[in-house]
Amino acid sequence: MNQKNDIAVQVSGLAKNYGAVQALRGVDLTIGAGEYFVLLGPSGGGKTTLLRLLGGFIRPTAGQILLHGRDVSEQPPNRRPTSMVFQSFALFPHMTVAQNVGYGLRLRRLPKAEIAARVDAMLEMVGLKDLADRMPHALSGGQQQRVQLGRSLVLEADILLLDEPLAALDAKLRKDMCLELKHLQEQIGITFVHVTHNQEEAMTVADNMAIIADGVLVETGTAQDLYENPQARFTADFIGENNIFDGRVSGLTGSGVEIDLGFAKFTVDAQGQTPRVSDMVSVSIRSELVRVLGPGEAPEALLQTVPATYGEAVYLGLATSHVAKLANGDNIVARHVSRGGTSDDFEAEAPLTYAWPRTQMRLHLS
Amino acid sequence: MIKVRPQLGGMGGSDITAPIPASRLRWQRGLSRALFLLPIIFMMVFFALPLALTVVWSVFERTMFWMKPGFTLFSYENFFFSARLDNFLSSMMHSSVSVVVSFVLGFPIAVFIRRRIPQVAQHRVILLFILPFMVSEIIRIFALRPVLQRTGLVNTVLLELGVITEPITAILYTPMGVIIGEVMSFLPFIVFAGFLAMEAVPKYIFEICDDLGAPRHRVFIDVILPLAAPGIFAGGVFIFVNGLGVALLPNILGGPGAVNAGLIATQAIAALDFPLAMAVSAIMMATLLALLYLGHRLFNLTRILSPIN
Amino acid sequence: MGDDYTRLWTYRLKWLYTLLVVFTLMLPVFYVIYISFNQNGFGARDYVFTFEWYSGIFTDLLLMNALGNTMLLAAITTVLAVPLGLIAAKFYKATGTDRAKLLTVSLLLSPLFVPADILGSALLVFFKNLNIACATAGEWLGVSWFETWFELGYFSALVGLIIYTIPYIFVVILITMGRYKEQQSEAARSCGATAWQAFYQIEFPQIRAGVFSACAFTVILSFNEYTRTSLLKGGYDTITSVLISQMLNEGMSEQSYAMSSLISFIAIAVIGSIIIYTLVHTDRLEREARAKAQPVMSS
Repeated sequence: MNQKNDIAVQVSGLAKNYGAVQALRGVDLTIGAGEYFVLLGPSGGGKTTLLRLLGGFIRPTAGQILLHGRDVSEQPPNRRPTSMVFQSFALFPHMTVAQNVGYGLRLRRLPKAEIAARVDAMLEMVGLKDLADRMPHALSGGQQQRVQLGRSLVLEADILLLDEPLAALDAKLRKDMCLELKHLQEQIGITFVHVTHNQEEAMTVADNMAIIADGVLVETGTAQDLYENPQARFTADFIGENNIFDGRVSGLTGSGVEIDLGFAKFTVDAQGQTPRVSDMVSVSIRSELVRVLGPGEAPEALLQTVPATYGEAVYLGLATSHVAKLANGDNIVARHVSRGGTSDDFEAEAPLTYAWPRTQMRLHLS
Repeated sequence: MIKVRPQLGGMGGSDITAPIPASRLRWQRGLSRALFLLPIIFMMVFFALPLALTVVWSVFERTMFWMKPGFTLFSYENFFFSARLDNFLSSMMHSSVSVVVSFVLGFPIAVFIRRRIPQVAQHRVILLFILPFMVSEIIRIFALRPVLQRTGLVNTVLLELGVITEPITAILYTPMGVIIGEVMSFLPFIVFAGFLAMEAVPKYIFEICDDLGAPRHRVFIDVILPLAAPGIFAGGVFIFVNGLGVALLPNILGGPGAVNAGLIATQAIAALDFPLAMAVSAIMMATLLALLYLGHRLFNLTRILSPIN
Repeated sequence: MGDDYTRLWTYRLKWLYTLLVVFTLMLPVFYVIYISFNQNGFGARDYVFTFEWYSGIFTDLLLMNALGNTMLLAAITTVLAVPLGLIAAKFYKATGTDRAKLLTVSLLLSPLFVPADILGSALLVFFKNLNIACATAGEWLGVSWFETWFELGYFSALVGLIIYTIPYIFVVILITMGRYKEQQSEAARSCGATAWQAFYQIEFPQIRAGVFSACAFTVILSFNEYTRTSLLKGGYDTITSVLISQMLNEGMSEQSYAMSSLISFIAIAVIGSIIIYTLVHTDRLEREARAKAQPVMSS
């Protein structure tokens, strides 16, 4: 195997149909070796299908999968440089923890002593040293997932696939294990491909991530890219809390794009994109960048403003969301850090102005 | 940053992740597909095909010891315009009575097991009903003779107890005997079918009904029956069809008038009238398919399969 | 709705009724066993306990010969039918499309609904026709090595028995497989196991109980089967065919009573021990299932 090849996963034109249902369509994706890569998207969007295609549990309808430069599209799971951790606790119930972890090594006919040594080292690594002789049903959910992790990692496969590995754990445990996974990956240095529908989980662990929805790869990038500069409208809608306005391009002035929303007109920087007049486009602004100007408060220059009718404040602990209605009936949300005790009260139905820096607005052509 | 790690293959273990050549992959896939299709093909060739061909053979012409290709409805005439039809119809009657008796005696047991026995123990109680089924049908059926006959167990006990003064003779070598035999043979099946059918009735429904204060017979008619209908129907069809088709029952327990389709077919075979036997088989298959079709239209029989999915 | 006490009583009554039904269904068999120990045979006024008839079984050449044939048939049927049923159950679980599932289920379960005599007659005529076709083809080609393949005999009787037993095998195995999570096989594959290794190292140990019960059922069912076997067996004698010919002609001999009792007794003992084993086993499975459903929540 070529360890110097910097690309761990290269997928081109990958598609999977189940009868008439297209679970995945024309996916092109490259994952660098040693990356922690996350496939993020809503349930049923095709991210697990993609992962299972990488693992070889299903065969692609079309397209090609190269793992470390080798075409494995037709190879069964046991012939791929991958190993998988499953969402449900897929341990072998008739084997002890140590036997579970050593299963793959026994298949490789390693000497008994070496198997024992490697299993011990692995159990130490995932923090289960004392539970080696337990049966899986006597373990907690978190422990079971550690065993799964150990069972996969002990094989020293080049690519570890994780299918919603934390979904069945409770929230607190999930947070801890997330960080643990991240550190484990940094320590071992192999490629992790992790599927989740949980944004926070994704952001915690990912070096790079891909958004997958409706069987299509929407966008790839670092967590920060996708949060701060999403290219696709879907990404803006899915990640973080964004206010999104749909409208039609009504004019182009240099790099500025004028967009008619019906109740207002925005001018946005094209950000290198090339919209045409009368295209349907969207504009998004993150809710934490939106400010609420009281009646009579004058907007500064460089601010985009819209009039809105105040609705209600939703207290969320760290932040408070101020929800108001726009002239077209849509909601707009401004999220501010809660100021203890007296929250900034606005009267319901009060006519206010919502404002945000023009330069922070992003244009989405799709 | 990639650390160069030693591969397992180089550490004394065998490299079991090396790629398989495309040609071997192809024939491995072909082999496994063929293996998986084997049971289906077997059932197609040795089960579905012979039964479908009964229709063809039933219109062949009878020869002295065999039959020859041709087209004649003689066998059907032979069936429909003779005492055979009467026998067939009356065995349908007897079968229907058996279905009803089995249902009345057996279904409450299925309901009882589902409702009142802890989940863990349910399957064990059901297993009890497999026991009689494990004894050869010929022994079970034949053993009814010493039990039911004039000097048999039932009469002896009843006479001893003074319940009757004369031995009952109406329970053997009569249609009644056949019905008793059918119920004794097939009752476990209504318990099994009922048990599976009750899977469709979640336990909390009984609590809701208790909570609403619904009287028991209303719970039974409004809740249990509609939900369990597909399973009950399948169990009923099973008993009905076997009542028509198992020759052993009328042969051993029935009198001169008790002849069912199975017996007509085996008698025809003994008489080397193969087209007639095939016609009877075809008629039985038509009856079965009609019943299943009817049941499917009424209750959607695929619902029965939900417990095994 | 009554109070707790009347409920307890109706509960006991229902139990009593259930057991009474089972007992009634078994009654004729018990009666045969009772008669088989009577020195004077059936219908005699005096009951003298004896083992005489049982020792007579083993000197009865007709019965012994039939026993040999029957055991061989039962054994081969089990060896062929259980793997077939297992493969069908695996196929049923693995196949993605509803149509393939429906086809599998209806093909494998419908023999339950086809009465013995009807299936037996259809298969008899089928095999006779195959036989004629082979003979004709052989004559035409001038070779004869395949001419006797489909003559009535072991092969045709086996086919009848496999079709008879396969629905039971299919259902028993499918129900046991229901508890098995396919992801375990996938996990094994991703550890480097071939499909076959994943099956026999991971899945089989967990469905073993079901497969073995299916084997026991198959042996007993094919041992007890009469109608299909007698139509398809050709010249061989089987236990049931010997018994039935005695029953219908000269009445059962005392040895036959003893033989019937013996095979019934063995069947009941085998299934009885399976039931007991299952009781113990389901207990354990249930405990494990509960433990899995609520894992100890400390990490």
